[in-house]
Amino acid sequence: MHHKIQPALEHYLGIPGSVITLFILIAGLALFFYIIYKRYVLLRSAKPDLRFDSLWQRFYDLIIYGILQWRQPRYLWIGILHIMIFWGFVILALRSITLYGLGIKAEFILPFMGGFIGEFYLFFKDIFEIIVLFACIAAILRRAISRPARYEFKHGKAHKFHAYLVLGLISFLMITDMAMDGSGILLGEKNAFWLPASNTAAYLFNGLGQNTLKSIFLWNYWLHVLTLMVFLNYLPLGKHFHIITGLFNVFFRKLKKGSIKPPRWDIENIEELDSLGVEKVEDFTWKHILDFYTCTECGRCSDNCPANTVGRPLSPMEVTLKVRDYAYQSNPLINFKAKTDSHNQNLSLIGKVLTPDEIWSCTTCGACEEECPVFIEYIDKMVDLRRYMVESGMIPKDFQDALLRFEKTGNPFGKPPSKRADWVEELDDVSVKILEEGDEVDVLYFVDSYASFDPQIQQVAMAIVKGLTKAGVTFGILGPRESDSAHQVRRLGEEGLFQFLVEENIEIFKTCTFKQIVTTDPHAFNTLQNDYPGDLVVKHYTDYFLPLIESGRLKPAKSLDNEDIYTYHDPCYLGRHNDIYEAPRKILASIPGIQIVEMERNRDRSFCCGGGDINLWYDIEEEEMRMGEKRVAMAHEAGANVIVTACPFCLLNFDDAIKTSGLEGQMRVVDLMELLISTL
Amino acid sequence: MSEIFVIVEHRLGETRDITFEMLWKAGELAQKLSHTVTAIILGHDVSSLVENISDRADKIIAFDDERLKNFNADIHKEIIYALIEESKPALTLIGNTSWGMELAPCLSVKTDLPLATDCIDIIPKDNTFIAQRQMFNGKIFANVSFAKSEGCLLTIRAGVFPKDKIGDRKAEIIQQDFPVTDIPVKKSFVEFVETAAGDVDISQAELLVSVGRGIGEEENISLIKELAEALGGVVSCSRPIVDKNWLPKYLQVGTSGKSVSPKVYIAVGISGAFQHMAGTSGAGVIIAVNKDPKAPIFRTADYGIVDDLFKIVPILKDKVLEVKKG
Amino acid sequence: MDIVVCVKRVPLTEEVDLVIDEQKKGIKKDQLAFVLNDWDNYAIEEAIILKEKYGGEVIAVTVGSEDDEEVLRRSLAMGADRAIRVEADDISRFDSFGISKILARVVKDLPHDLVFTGVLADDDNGGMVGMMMAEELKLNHACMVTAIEIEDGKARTTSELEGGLGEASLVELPALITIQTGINEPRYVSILGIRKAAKKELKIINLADLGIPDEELSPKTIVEEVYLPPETEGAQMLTGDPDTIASDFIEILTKKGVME
Repeated sequence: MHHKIQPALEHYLGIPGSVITLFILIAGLALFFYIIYKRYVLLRSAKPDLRFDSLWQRFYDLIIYGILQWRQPRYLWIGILHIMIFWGFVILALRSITLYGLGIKAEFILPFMGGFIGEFYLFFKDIFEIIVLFACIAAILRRAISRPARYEFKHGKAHKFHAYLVLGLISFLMITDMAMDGSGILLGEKNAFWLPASNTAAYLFNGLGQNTLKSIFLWNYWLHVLTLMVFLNYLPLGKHFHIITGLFNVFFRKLKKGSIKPPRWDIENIEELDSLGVEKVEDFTWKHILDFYTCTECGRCSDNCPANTVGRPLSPMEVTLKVRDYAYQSNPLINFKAKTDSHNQNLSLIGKVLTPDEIWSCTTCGACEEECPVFIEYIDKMVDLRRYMVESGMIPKDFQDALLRFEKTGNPFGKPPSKRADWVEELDDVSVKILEEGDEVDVLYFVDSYASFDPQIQQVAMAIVKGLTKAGVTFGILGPRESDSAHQVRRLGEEGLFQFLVEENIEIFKTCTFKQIVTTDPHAFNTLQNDYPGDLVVKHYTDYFLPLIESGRLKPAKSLDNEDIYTYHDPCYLGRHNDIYEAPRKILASIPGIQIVEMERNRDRSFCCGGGDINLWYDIEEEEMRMGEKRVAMAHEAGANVIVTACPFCLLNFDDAIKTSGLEGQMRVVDLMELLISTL
Repeated sequence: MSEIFVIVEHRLGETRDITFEMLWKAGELAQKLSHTVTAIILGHDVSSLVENISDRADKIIAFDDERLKNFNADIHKEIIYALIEESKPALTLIGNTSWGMELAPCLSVKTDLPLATDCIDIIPKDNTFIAQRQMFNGKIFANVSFAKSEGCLLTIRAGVFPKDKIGDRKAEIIQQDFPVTDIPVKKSFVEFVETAAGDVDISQAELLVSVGRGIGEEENISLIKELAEALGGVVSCSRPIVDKNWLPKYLQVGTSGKSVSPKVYIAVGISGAFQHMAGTSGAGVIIAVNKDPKAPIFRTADYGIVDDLFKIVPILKDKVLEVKKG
Repeated sequence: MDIVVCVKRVPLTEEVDLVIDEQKKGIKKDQLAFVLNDWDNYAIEEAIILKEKYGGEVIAVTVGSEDDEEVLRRSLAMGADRAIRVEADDISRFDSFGISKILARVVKDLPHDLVFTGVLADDDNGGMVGMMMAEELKLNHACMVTAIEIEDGKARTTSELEGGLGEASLVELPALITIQTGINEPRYVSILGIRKAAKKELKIINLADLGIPDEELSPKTIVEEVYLPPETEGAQMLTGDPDTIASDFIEILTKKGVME
């Protein structure tokens, strides 16, 4: 497109436009790179992270989640708005580069933008200009009028000003560009009818004098060029840094869900470490610090966080932002103070920036990580913070006692290991083999502590062995030689104890032969599969039993002759962390005559029951209601009177919650396996 | 025929119950073995103390001196050592109390006589004695004998023996002067310290619902509070609950806490360790709830419920509310 | 403020049913887990607290076999500077008398402004070793202490008496203090912390090298027999379904006149 007016050739106070543009460009970019460098320096001083594996997978995810913004529509309308703005931005980037070019050299055209491609591009650009403008205005109105709750902060005030500013700046950029094109057309530029933005602007300017139009053109040009540079430099200062770091963050996302990172990726033996876990900002890995940079303050994580919902002090977004702000503060872009020893003396986060209760509030359910459009991770950070707290003794006495019991007896109850298989004796019709050295079976049934000792969960274990027996599978349990899977121990932050228990279990596994491990508990399943070394073949009982039902080896024949309405609750460690949603549902559906409803929050939007982790041993005082109670209410609302779960902790939490909500008699909870067995 | 020494324990002018209990047992042994009972009092203004036990001992050796106003283990040790050296008693009984636990071991080393602590019975055998005591916090009983020596020291658990008078005695009272050589004292008494009174005095309550370690977590204590409320009673607890800071010290029942004498004492999740049960000896009826049928508390309680407290306590509470309403 | 703390490794028996061994002089220990004696845990913590306040060295000492080093490592992980184990095979042949003589002999050669022991041990519930050591070493002492403050080279201690009463005393240093539970909140030590503590000094002294004449160590008390508590009449059990139990419960209360 030939422009009649060439900003490069204009003169202002004797200085040619090209010089001014060059100046803006160079000064702006220099400042920008300086800021980026400062941000990078902090990343460099952080701990290593391994994020360059599985490159094909990463590129694929980049396209799906980065370019196609796959997670955005989870909040539908604003998601669509954002996609529009994002794509608009990408498309308009070429235009912006061209504009700078024009400011330096007259008639500047990017390579291969001449001819048909150029025209095609201009069409797209114009369309998106309008879309983006309207999207921004819609976003501004939405923020101002409907004030979505998740933008609010629990503590302190949200940075709403920045949101409005940036939306305003983007809108401004669109408007200035349109104004340029519009005035350009009226000044005799080549026009095309398929350029709606330019033509609309031209229509609005119709009738203005030539000088006015030239003024408009130039003014908007310089404003645009200047604003863009200001905008660019503004980005790294706040939540809009995600515009630059977002795609990187998606590329470097955590691929192995469910697992917990080791204390250090570069040092395997934890005894060599001076300290464990995260005390200061630099103790985080560079990817975690990139996470802090990338938070868009959208609040989707906190909106879905069960701890936040029940009134605990935790709001994931605020954790991120508090650390980010602290990191920025401690690593300022310009050091006004003289360099003393206190430079980079980033003090302990805990107590100063984050409270212990905030960190203990997390149930590691993964809802936050599932929602975040830019793939910010939380669970690993919580565990790292907890690791530090455990090593420095900042843990509540009840945890200490529980951990001591794990250490001494291999279970959280303190019961002697010799009694771990006592539940087996209560089974008359089924015999359970307690594996000894050299035994060979198809299935090693990993019972874990709760199923071994808690009377209610022992029923589930009994159901499972009944199922295994009926299916004609050879199986055995480890009995007294089994130690707790240590899932909770690791997520509590006691890495040393976790490794100790894992070693014990691994040694025991080696003494017998089996084709796969089947677990009662999604937690045990998760840790055996994702945390334990070696490639153990592990299945949760739902995954294991489904093929047996489908192949006909197990036949749910008896129909439940009652009027009950069932609903299935997705346990966090089966569903979100391991993507097992359908297997349990299929098992449930295979029961003849069963009436099933789905809760509104299902599958990856399932709401944590309260957890099988910390909650067992410590009470967060600020809680308004229990998570279990909230979830039971959701089941009630969905019209169900029986909640089906596949996790012992969900079972216990719901059982409790039904009583404390006063719904005893109206609702009950049942384990999927127990239900299944009753119908075989 | 030898003497049996009983070291009298008194505080703030009162003869403590343990003294009477020891005198009873000493009297019983004296009768069996043809020994005599010698009570030893160290204190200031001891005439009333002497009077209190004049019919329970054959001889009372009393030291009345300003310097003996407050208990000091070193002074007691020196004086008693001299008496033991002189009379070579067959047995010396000391209360297994805070003061007794400080005095007895020191005395044992000084006199080179064997010591058995926290005894719940003394069984004469041949020319010596067997001390019966507990181990593993009451889970195991042990019989302990003594290597050859002339005499042995025993500390006696409070509340085991009766406080009654046994036999008919009139004590020969011997007043002794504080030994001439001044005993160097490197520990001085400052004051008595009372635990904060708190807004509830459990020693006056008519009905107590007491919670122990079996409750598991702090938040579960609300279960106990609800039962107490339903019954119009007061919540109390055992030591571990106070050690964990879940309830204040003034609600603790036991030797280091308060002695209570309610009409009904409901012990929930309490194992029945002696130190705790000692505080309940004044209770009318003790009802224990514990999931372990072998818990020691079922030996001392009047009624027992073997069940998971989380299951049965809400049921009891509901029944109480039901009955009270109707 | 140099402090020596004497610690003991004992079996964890809270949730366990104890079984008498064949000789009937002890319990079967093969199925049991072992931990640091609860009182000693508080003692170590108190020593560390004082060290953090006043500086100095904390030394942990135990008498026993290699297995007993576990509690020394825990003490080191909590903050003790070094540890000493007196190697003595089969320490069950010593009674409190003997143990106190051995410990006293060791402590004599160590710098000590304060010596801590726990009031009791979870296994024998003896409560003698501390005070016996004090007498051996001619140290001033305070018993069953629930609070310690240091003022001008003296320790202001609060001893726990019965019935909620306490006794405050001023004890000149050096002194031996037996520590009561609840005096503080012992810090947690992680597995990693314990492993790292392995770098701290743990010296092993042979009993023979202490030069204590054998007669002094021969036991003065002998455990003749241990047995499970005799079955007394015990409580009258309320049985039946929960509803029946609840009704019986109400009946008892009504009879006692507390149901209004």
